[in-house]
Amino acid sequence: MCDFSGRLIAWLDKELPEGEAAVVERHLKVCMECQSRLVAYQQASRTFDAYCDAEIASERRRSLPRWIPVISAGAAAAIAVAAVFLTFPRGRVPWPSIKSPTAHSSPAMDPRVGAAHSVAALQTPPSAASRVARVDRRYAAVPARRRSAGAAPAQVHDVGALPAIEITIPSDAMFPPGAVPEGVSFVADVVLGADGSAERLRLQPQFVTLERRATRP
Amino acid sequence: MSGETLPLRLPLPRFRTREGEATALYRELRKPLVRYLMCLGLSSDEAQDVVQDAFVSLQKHLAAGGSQENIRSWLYRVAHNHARNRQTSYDRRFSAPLGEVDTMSDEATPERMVLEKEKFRRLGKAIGLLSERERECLLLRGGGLRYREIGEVLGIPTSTVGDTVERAIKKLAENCNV
Repeated sequence: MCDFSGRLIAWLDKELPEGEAAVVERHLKVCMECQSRLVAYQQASRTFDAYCDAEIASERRRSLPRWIPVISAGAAAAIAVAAVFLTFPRGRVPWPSIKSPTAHSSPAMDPRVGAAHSVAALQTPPSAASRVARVDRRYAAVPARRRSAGAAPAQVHDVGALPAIEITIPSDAMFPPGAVPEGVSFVADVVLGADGSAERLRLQPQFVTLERRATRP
Repeated sequence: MSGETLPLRLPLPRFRTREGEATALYRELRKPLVRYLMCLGLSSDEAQDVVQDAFVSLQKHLAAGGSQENIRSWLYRVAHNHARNRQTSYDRRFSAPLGEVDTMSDEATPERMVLEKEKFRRLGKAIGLLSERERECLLLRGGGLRYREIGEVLGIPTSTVGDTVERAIKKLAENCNV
C-alpha cells in the first residue's frame, strides 16, 4: 500500500497544512493506486451523505400525514403575514403627488384612492388647498425616490400601475417541517382594497431549483 | 412537537443585537442541525424540538455575555448532548438497514432505482458496522464541520477525529465496495 494513502482523506477534507497538501497533490498526479483510492473514498463519502438524506426524506414522509390537518392553519398565518407586509408600503406610495396643482379631480371621489384621502376630506373644510396641505404634511417623510414626482394624477391614483413589491418569507418559517416539499415556494397574489385591506389573496406554488446542501470541498 | 407549538414566529434578521446574531445563526444552522439529529436517530419532531432548545440555550448564553467563539460547534455540542439524553431513539436510525426507504428521487428509472437500492442496502449494512463515534464523526463532517469543530462537539482531540474519519471512510469503501 502506498505511503500516501493515509493522508488522502485529510487532503480531501482540506485538513492538511498547505505544504503537505501540495506534496499529496503532486503525488496524486503520478500514483494510480492513490487516484483510485481517492475516487473510492470520495464515493463512499458521497454515498454516506446521500444515504443520510434518503433516510431523512423517508422519515419526513412517514411523519407527513400528521401535519396535514395543520397545513391550513399555516396557510392562514401566511396570508395574515403577507397582508400585513403588503399593506403598508402600497398604501403609502401614491399619495404624495396629490400636491400637484392639476389634481383638480377630488381624490375622495375616486373609489381607488386610499382611506387617508377619505378621512382628510371628511375632517377638513371643503377647500382643495387645505386638504392637499394635510396630505402633504402627512407624507412628507416618504423618501423622494418613492414619490412618482412627475407622474400625472391619473397614474398616481392607479394603484395597479405600481411596481409589485416582492417579499420573501421562508416557507419553513410558516409551514411545519415536511409540509412543503423541498424546492417549492409560494407567490402571494394580493389585491388591496381602497382602505388598504387585502381583498383577495391567492398563494400560488412555484417550483424552483432544488437547494443543494453545501458539501465539503 | 405538537400542532399547537408550530414555529410560526418569523425569524427576521436583526444583526445589530446579540439576539439578532442568534437569529442569523438560526437561519443558517437550523437545517443542518436538524439533519444531524435526525441522522442520529431522532424523529423529525424530536429533532426540531432539540434544535429549538439549543437555540434557546444560545440566546441565554449570548445574553449572559458568553463567549462568541466557535458558536457553530457550541450549538452542535448542545444539540448533540440534548440528543444523547433522548437515548431511546438514539440508536434506532442505523440499527436496521434501509428496507422500505424510497432511496431515490421520483424521476429515477426503475433500473437505476434497483441499482441504487442495492447500493444503499450494502451501505446500510456497512454503516451498521461502524462504531457510534465513527458515525458521529462522519455525520458532523457531512454537515461541513472542520475536524477541529468535530473535536469540540464530541470532546475529543482533533487528531483523533482525523483518525476516526479516515478509519470510517475506509471501512465504508471496503465493505460496500462503492
